[in-house]
Amino acid sequence: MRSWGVEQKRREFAEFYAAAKDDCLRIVLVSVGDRQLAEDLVAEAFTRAWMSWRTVRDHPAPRAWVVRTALNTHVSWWRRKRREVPLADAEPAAAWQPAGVDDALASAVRALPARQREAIVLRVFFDLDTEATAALMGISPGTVGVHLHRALGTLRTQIPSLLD
Amino acid sequence: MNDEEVLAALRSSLGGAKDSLADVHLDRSADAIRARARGRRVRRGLAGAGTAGVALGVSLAFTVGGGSGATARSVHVNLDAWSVNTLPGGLVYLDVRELVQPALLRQTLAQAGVPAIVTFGEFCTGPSGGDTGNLDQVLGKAAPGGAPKLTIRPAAIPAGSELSIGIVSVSKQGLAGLDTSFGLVKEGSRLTCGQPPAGQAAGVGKKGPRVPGQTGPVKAKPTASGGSGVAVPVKTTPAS
Repeated sequence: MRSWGVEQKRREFAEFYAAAKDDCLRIVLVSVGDRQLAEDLVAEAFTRAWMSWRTVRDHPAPRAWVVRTALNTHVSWWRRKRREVPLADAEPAAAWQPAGVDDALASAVRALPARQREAIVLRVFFDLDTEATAALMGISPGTVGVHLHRALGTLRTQIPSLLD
Repeated sequence: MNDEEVLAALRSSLGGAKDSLADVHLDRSADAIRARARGRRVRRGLAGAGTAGVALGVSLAFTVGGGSGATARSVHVNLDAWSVNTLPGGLVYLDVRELVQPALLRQTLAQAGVPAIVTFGEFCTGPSGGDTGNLDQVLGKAAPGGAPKLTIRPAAIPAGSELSIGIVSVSKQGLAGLDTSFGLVKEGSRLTCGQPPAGQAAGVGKKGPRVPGQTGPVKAKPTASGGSGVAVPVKTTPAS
């Protein structure tokens, strides 16, 4: 038997959604580089969060749950899309290009493997420390350090100006 | 240069990107998220009850006239969830099977020349309650003899307006279908979105979907255009 009422559940979810939706969208946007896709992924993740609200509510980092679900869904949709009919005339969606960022740097970040890119995004864009990044990614702080070290090594090689 | 120093250099280089993120907001309501989840539960419940033969689907055909300021071109997008295809003669065929990726669907329709606002799980209307004056001209009659189709003339969409397309999942007598709402709204206007009345959403109202006796997809054949044989009703004045 449920120990909480429907209204309380709705209120909790609404409060969580209002507080977390923009941050989750920004993290996913930076990771996937497509605004439309990011919105769909985050909406999908929040839909699943509501469907499993008791689990998500008790999760140590509910926002991390949403972000991870969105990014995992991205992988799932990408795999599915590979099997679908090619878009004969459709142009690929323009990648989101943040203002004031060097094209080469933005491209290099996007070209990183997914987990390395996530570590960079969370540490650099959102100023999270290693522990918070680990919680969000669902991995240990040590593994965050490994992903980060490899990502920075790649960026150092591809963007020598970072060393200036 | 160690990792922390490279991180600091990256933060400095990406400072502009962080600023540009301040304007990024997710505009969907929590109600829309819950409605989307509710529709999914209905579909899962049906599948579990052994009624997988009743597929969900809404099929619409759009006539691309290149009007209303939109730039129409040939579009062929086929996802598992939905398809948008420009047909010979300027028609655009839309087939929705799952209520996912509405933003991408909107973008695809725009590429096909249909300026549209697509909402899954809720209906939206403009400030005046929905300007439906030209909707009969925008929504054409179904082609006789063919599968249920809805034709839309983008040229009839007033300049500066968009076609609001809302689709929600409904159930009736244990079977599911889709309820669709159309309206014309001014571009950039503030929309009022909400779910249809509970009775209607649950498929117990007068406008609930017809549930076919045989297996196969439930196709949309809206009546706002004057068509008959409604499988999925169309409301020109969405409920708030």
